[in-house]
Amino acid sequence: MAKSKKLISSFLRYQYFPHILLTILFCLGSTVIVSFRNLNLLQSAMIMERYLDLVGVFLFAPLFMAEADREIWQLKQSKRTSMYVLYLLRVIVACILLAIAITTFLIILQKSNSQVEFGKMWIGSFCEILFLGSIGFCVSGITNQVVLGYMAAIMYYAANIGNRQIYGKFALFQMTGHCYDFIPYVLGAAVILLCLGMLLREKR
Amino acid sequence: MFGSLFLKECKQIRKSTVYYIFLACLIFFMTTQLGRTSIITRPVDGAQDYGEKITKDPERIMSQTLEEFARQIYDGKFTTYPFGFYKAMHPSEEESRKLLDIFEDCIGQTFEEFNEARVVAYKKGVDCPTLPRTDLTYDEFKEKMVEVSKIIGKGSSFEQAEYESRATEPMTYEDAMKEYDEICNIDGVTDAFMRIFCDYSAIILSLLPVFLGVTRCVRDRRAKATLVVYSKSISSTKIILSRYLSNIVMIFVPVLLLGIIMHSPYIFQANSLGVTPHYLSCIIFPVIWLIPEITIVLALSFLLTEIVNGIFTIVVQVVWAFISLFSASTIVGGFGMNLIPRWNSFGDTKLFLEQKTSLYENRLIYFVASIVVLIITILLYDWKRKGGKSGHGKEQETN
Repeated sequence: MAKSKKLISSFLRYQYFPHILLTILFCLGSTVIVSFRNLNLLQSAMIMERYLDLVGVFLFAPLFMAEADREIWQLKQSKRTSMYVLYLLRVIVACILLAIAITTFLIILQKSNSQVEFGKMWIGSFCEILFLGSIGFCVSGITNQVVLGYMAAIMYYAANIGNRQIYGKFALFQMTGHCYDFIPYVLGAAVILLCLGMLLREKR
Repeated sequence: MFGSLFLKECKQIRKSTVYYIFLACLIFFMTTQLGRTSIITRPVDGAQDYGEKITKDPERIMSQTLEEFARQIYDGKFTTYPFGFYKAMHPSEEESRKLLDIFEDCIGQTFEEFNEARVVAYKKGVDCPTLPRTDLTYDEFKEKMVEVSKIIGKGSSFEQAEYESRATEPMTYEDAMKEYDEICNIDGVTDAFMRIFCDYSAIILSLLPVFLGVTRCVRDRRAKATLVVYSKSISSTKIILSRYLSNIVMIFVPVLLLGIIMHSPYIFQANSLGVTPHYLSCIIFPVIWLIPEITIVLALSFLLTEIVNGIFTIVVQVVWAFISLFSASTIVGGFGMNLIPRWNSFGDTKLFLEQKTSLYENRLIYFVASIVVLIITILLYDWKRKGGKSGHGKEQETN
């Protein structure tokens, strides 16, 4: 436990901090860019999806950045702590940060007299954002290039703006259409992508 | 020397994974959006509906804008899109009073009288359009809308560019025939298609080049070759310029080829209609419309990656691209200073000719801006080569 804490704290301090800062700045930017007041259900869902989705990319795509340098990667592989444990701990940290961001947004919406279905929207947002983030995570893990991770996730987000029906259950922004059937599908896909990202990275 | 460096850079790009993902995204996006060929047919006299067209008729503009104004007064909140995202404005009591005064002044009756008239019309089952008072001039109306915009804030439906681009009227057979003739005679069919092609390409090119630009800039760091490159005798101008131009060429060539391929069915269509197609429109339109966008996005990504880092550059560009996309007041024209000039319409030829100068100004400004940004990048790179520190004080970033 103490070792896990040490691993996480050094990751947070030396590698992940700029990305957390970026996420915080992005979330703070919402106060200027979007309104939280007196929104109906669909408008609230729009904020949670269109705006907050990108947080998934910022939090999950850079999780392998610490080992982008092959020598550092090999050095870490030689240690006793399994790389999978290391990656899993980072994913848990990113999930906690994502949960904080979603809860904060929903509370702000609720306090601003907007209509919110807290439980449903929390789960829907979490799964959708995790799914988008896992695309970035998987691609950056396999290619060892965070730029590619960002590219894949952002292009998927952009592709969903115009033509999302072709992605079926895996389409983004479904809560805006008051549809929550997608949750098990995107959650399953997110878990698969997260596992694939870690496994394929270490099998390289 | 410069030529061989340029070719080397092109080869490097060709070998990179990012480039193949770029190509896949570009082809997928363009084919899914523009996969079906629009068939141009001569309008038939006596048809029930010829569609709608944008109107410049002040009466219709005033009536439709006031209709929207009334609806938002009923709702008690006003819709704005200051950065492309929905933002509801809730006026205070004093602001509501002022807005209501403006509305009543525009229609020449009190809000209660207006409501009563609506109820009566509804019971009779007839339409009750929101008409301006008979002596309200268009200039006076515009002044009133400026007052409304000042109260509500930026990005509302009551800004001149917004309401003038939204008012519509039904097309008559003559209108439909006129539009058909314009597409055939002025556009030669092909120009009409190339405007839509450039519209979609501009959307995807506001995002994709940044990934190639950032990848190129961080490649030296990843390969730990930064100091080796710094020590070479070649000038900073040649290094940056060769990287920059090779990226432009490698991005633009596939777009151009895609344009040529997708534009060819329209050449056949023009020929079958007995119209002379504009063969060069598949080159002229992308050069004017898309090259300035590629140059500014790449220049900015080069500069920001030199100053801060790749991830920050991507985030800045993504935010800029999405704000440009969502905040456009219309998807047909209204270019202004938008990074993504929209023309999501097959036709509207006369409207395009009216707004062409504004498009050229927009593109020229971005092109000049990209040259300025590139010069700053070269100076910064040169300063770093001569011993100046990088923005984050170390060369450890590898992604």
